Amino acid sequence: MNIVFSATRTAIDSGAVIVLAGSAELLMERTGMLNLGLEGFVAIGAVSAVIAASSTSSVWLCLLAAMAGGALMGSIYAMATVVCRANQVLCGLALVLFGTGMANHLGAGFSGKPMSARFVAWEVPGLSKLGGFGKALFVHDPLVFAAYTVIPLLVSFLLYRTRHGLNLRAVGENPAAADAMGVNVMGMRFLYALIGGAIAGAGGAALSMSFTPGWAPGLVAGSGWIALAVVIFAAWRPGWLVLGALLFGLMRALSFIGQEQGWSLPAPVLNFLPYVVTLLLIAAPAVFKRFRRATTPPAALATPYFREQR
Amino acid sequence: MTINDRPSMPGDLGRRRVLQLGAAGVASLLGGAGVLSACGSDAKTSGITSGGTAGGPGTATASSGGGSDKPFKVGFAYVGPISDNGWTFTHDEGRKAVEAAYPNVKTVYIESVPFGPEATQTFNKLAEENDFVIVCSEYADLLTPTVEKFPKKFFLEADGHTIGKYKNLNSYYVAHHKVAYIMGVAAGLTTKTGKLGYVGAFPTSTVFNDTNCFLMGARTVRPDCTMNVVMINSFFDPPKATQAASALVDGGADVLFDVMDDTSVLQVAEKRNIHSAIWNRDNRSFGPNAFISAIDLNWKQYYIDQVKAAMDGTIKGLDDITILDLGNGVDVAKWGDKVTPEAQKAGDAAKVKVQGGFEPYTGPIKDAGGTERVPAGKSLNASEVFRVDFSIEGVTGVK
Repeated sequence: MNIVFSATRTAIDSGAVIVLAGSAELLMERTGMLNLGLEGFVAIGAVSAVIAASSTSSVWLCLLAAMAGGALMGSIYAMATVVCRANQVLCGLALVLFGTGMANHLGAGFSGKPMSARFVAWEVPGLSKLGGFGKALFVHDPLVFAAYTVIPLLVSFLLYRTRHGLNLRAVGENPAAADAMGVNVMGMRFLYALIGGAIAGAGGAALSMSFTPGWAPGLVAGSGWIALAVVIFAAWRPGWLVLGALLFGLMRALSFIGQEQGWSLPAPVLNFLPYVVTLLLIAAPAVFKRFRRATTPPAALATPYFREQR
Repeated sequence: MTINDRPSMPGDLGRRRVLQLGAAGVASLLGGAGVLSACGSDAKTSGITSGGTAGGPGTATASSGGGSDKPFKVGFAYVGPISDNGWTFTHDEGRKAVEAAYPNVKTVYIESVPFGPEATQTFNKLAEENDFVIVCSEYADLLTPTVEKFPKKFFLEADGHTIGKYKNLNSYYVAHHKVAYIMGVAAGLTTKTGKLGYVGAFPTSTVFNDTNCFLMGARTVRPDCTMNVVMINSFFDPPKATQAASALVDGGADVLFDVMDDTSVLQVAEKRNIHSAIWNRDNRSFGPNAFISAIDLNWKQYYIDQVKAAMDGTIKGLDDITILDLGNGVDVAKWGDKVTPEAQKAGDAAKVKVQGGFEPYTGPIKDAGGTERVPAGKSLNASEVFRVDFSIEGVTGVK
């Protein structure tokens, strides 16, 4: 039973970055921007938090720095793809290389050093006392709680319960129609590149300030790519995103718990388990027919909008 | 990968480039000749003989510095960043000590050399530009092409298993298993559950010696102890080390030990309110309550001596690895503040015993499969310990 609790706790902790980065990607894709640069966004967020921690001990300022770093990446992306209407796939890939490379460069002096500002676990009053599961579910740091509750709820409310969300989705499905309705397509996309960037940056902070003891090269280790996959698995729905992130987090937890428990699977196999599951997650909806219609991406995804080409 | 070429010379890139090209051309010619001569001399040097007189008359030496105006250049290759506060940090302290000791020695270092083909290129560049190259981790087959290509340059490889094969490559390491044994004694009196945990990188003799001897030490004071190992395929990956350590604690381990270059395992121990012994150096500030002790590394004197020998041209290819012994390059750090007085006393007694000549690997010792590895009455010597490739009964998770 102890194993179940510890697996749950680790799954939740390691899934937080996926939920945050995934929410960022979801918002951006819903407005028609395919951001393949997520990995770089997360890296920049993580390193920004670490750099901020060298001059402040306030976790919230560090988180803010991470979000600012992410938003900066978002603005670069938007400048290229929204304003200049460059190819989104290429720009995204370029930002992966730029973001991870830049983060490694900026973080060089910090790698392996513990941070002065770290999120500490917070216990939900009452609920955290409910035995093993109480501990597994209700003792996490505030950023993790926010990642699983506030962010998905906000995104969901925004997308499905507000006029603004309707406009947002319209921009992603049919920007020409949205434009005709009087929605500022470029403004909307630029705004969500910034917001998405900031949330992805917060995902980086979840890595460097809560999940691990600070910056290290290779810290992101594919979390951004996995978040991209989870968004597709979740069919661009915030609720499913949380589930997908938990599943991935569980796989990550299992790779260490399996070794500790002496499972007969060799360690390298356990270590690539998360990536196998990612593949399966992506393949599953395509195989099962009844999911197929529900899993169509926003119609205008990855297409730059030119008003003249309506 | 960042290069730090200390007195940078932005102005004369052109000249350096020309020199590099010239050196590369000459080196490739020499390299070809070197491979031939290395092949020819293999049979002579690979046979294990006692004493350090291998090498023969044509012993390759680092080209000595010549006139005092031309500095003697030493290149260091590090496996991680010097900011790791651990393994690489200790080697960099050694590098600084060399610079402080000899004013006409100029050192350069390259951090985070990856385990891949780039490593060989990095070593080639270091060998091209320096008189003496110290590789501060084992790169094995990634290093040997460079060693063959530059027969006139001398190389040192930490924890290297290419021993006695080249006249211009020596391997060195520390008797860390003795420290592990001593810390194990204190750990045995610290653990409540009797479960010890270890975060390892790759299944090498380092891991076997750490885990075997830590457990042997612990069992001298508590015979029912066991040791569980989780491997993460890296010496520097704080995220993975953190998760691996957490999984061990979740499984009931309450004393951890690890081979990581950084302090993440100690930090997990601090956070989970248990104890941890660590590698590299006294990093108690990262987990003041959890810290038991550390394998305290000090390469300064060894590097100073080796650089001197290389400068004088007296450095020779040895038949065997150089193991820096307890008190002479490696030691037990001061006990942690939360280690009980009786555990400290037992640990100190064990240290006295080891200093008196006791070898933890004294038979009879059986491996986890029940095969006898060290017969009764026999002890392993330093070079046999360096080649240990088995786990004793009680160690799980590493084969």
